[in-house]
Amino acid sequence: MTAVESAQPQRSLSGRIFGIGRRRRSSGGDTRRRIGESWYTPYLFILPHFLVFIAIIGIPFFLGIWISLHRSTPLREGPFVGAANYIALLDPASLHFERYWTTVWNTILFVIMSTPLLVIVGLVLATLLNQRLRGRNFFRGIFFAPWTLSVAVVGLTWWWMFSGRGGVVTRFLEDTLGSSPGWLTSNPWAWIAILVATLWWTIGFNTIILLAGMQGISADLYEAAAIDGANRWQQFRHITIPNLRPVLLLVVTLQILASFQLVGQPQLMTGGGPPPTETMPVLLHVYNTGFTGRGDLSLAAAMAMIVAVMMVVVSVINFRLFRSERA
Amino acid sequence: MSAFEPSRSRVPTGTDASPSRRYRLFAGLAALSLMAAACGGGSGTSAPGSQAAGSPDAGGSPAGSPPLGGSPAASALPTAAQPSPAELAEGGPEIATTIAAPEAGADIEIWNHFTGPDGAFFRGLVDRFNEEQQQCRANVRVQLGEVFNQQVVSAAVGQQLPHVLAGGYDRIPFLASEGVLSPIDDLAEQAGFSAETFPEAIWNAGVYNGQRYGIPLDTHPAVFYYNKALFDEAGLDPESPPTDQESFEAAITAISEQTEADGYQLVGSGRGGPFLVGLQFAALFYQGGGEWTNGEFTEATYNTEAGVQAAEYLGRLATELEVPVVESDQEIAAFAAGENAMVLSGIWESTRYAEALGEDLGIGLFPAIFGDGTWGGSHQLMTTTRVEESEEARQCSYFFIDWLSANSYNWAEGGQVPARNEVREAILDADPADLNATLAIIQQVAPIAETVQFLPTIPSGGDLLFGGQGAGESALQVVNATKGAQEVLDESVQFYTQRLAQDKQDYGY
Repeated sequence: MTAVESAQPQRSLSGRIFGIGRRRRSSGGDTRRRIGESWYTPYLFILPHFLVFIAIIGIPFFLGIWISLHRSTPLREGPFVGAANYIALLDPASLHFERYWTTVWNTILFVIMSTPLLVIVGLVLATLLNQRLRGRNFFRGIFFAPWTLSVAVVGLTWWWMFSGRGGVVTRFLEDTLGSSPGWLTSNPWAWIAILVATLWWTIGFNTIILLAGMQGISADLYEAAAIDGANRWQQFRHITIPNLRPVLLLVVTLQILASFQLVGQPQLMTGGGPPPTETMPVLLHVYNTGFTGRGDLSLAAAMAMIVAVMMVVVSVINFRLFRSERA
Repeated sequence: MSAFEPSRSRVPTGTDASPSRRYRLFAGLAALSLMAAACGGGSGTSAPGSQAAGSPDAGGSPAGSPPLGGSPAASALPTAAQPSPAELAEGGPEIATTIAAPEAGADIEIWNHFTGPDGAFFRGLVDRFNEEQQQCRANVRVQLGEVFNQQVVSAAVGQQLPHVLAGGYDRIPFLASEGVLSPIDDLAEQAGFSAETFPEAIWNAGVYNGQRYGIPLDTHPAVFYYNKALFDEAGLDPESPPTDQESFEAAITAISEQTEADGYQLVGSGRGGPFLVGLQFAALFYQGGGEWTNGEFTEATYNTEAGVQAAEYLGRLATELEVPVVESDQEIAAFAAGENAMVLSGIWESTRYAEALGEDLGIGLFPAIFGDGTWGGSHQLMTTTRVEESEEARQCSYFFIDWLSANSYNWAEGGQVPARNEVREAILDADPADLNATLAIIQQVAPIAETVQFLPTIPSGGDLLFGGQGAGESALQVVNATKGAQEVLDESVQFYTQRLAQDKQDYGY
């Protein structure tokens, strides 16, 4: 075994990644078996997750493509229809075109509205929580707590609070200002309600990640800046932000992908309304198409595939940004 | 045959659930569970939330399902809480069953989607069934209405179907075309059921593609409720609810002007919007003599005069009579709170209204704006292909269905109108003093069973009214004045005509 290893010192990518092979070589005649000794050892570590990935993402993904090329129902083999389902979504003359792209646009709109909001508010909260203040951990816990709830709880709670009859938000505004907008029945209020619910629910995650990033910044930098006369804002602008950039890009990337997956809040709070589809995100439309009434699995699969392609494009752009920043 | 042949009565029980079927379903379920998993992280998603309290599916489970009452179970899909059996009232007609239990006996499983109080009465009836005889042992399980179809399909793939399903008539075309149901024309014959046993429309709702798959258990119509105290306050006669357009509109105006309450409220948005406005549209549409499709089910036809005038009337209520446009279920809450004087709601709201308003609750027919006609759903009893495995199990299933129909007096206690004529007549003939509160309401509602009409029993039947781009959604846009009635119904009809042509080819009905 060792003979083979030393005959191929550069052999193992995994060895380089783990940094184990080099250490072994440097230790001279050590012949004890260690992790990384066999070429397949790292793959064994990856295997459990890989199998889960294949089972719940890989196979369904390719089956999704397969289904989108047929006309299938849950239990019946459908005929091959080629790109017909895609054409139905991409041809402006098709009766499916308008609704599909309206819901895609709604989703993009939500991404555009929610990403800056969730990142900036997360940054502000992280900055506040990064100070020495009494009960700091308590506040960290509070801000993070909603993130542990399911969308069902969040959606129903905020639906109730914003509802026009007896909703606490509506009531409060009526009592103080004399009137309240129809939060869930008209835009822009419906979008604002969904954004507020999303903000309350998920802000803890971004806050915690950004906070962790801030705590990784050396206190020496701030001390040096303070000695040079930099005020708090200048410290934030020239030390915190640049050092936080990799973490910020991660947060932005994750947030865009998460916002793209919007379904539950509008489903529970507005039903996709004001009618017919003013706050209906594309994944809710996919769900309704595939799984309600006379479901059309194949058309829904084609819809989901187009969304998947868009998300891959967004991810690639993000990845490039991320890489160029690192370089 | 173009497209795919219905593989009726072949798929689920044997060993021939092909791998591709399994995987296709699996992919679907995986997609669902991914969506559910995403709830945990980011601004994620959810498995389908339960509908708003007043919004069952087209024919489906009324009786206000508790929101998100499911708990995670071994299955990928959420399951319902199982109710304890309700105590059944005494009385009711003595109706003998024609079908006998088989000598050998068998265990049978029954699934329903009765998550409301009706589920407890169903279980009570199953217990009584088990007490009365020893041959057939029935076990009942409640599934959530929202995922009932998926649950049945999963069971078919996993070869774990129950023998009997109790569910909305609108589920029959889907389940039959997926090959899950076993036809029961022979059961109807053995039991002596015919269009004489039930109101004809309800009886016909159990047929798909020329074969019978459902035996009617009940109907749950939309009912016109009004508040007698508010009528009195507005100077109207509390004992004579409005019967036509003129008296209806006069009542709206009088109550709005004379009292703090609204005369009527219209739903304009919210999760339950397409359903709640849909059933009002349907009632008016039936009143105008509308037909959803042509006779061959190849063309949607609800953009005719009957459809346009129905939608326009709803729009007119909002504009000319200044009826408030509210979120779904608020008209229900407002009625229960005495802040809305008239409402057209599913019969499953009866208990809630009766508890809230007591003596002030008035029940009647929806005013005949254009004529007579009412929206209604119907729960039907079906058998799955599982009964084809064992003659004893089939016979027990048939016996159970016949028995339940004969005992549907107690089913009425769950808040439904029994489909069986003899049972309904017995309730109508009873002295109100002898009836408990629920049965007393059913007694008032029972005559509506004769006038209810149903959506076409084809796979897209329910979608015509309640689906995306359907008539309900169209009516909502008219109520909100975002589109004109003719324009929006034309678009909807164009969409569904294309769908129906496709369905006809795919399903071969």
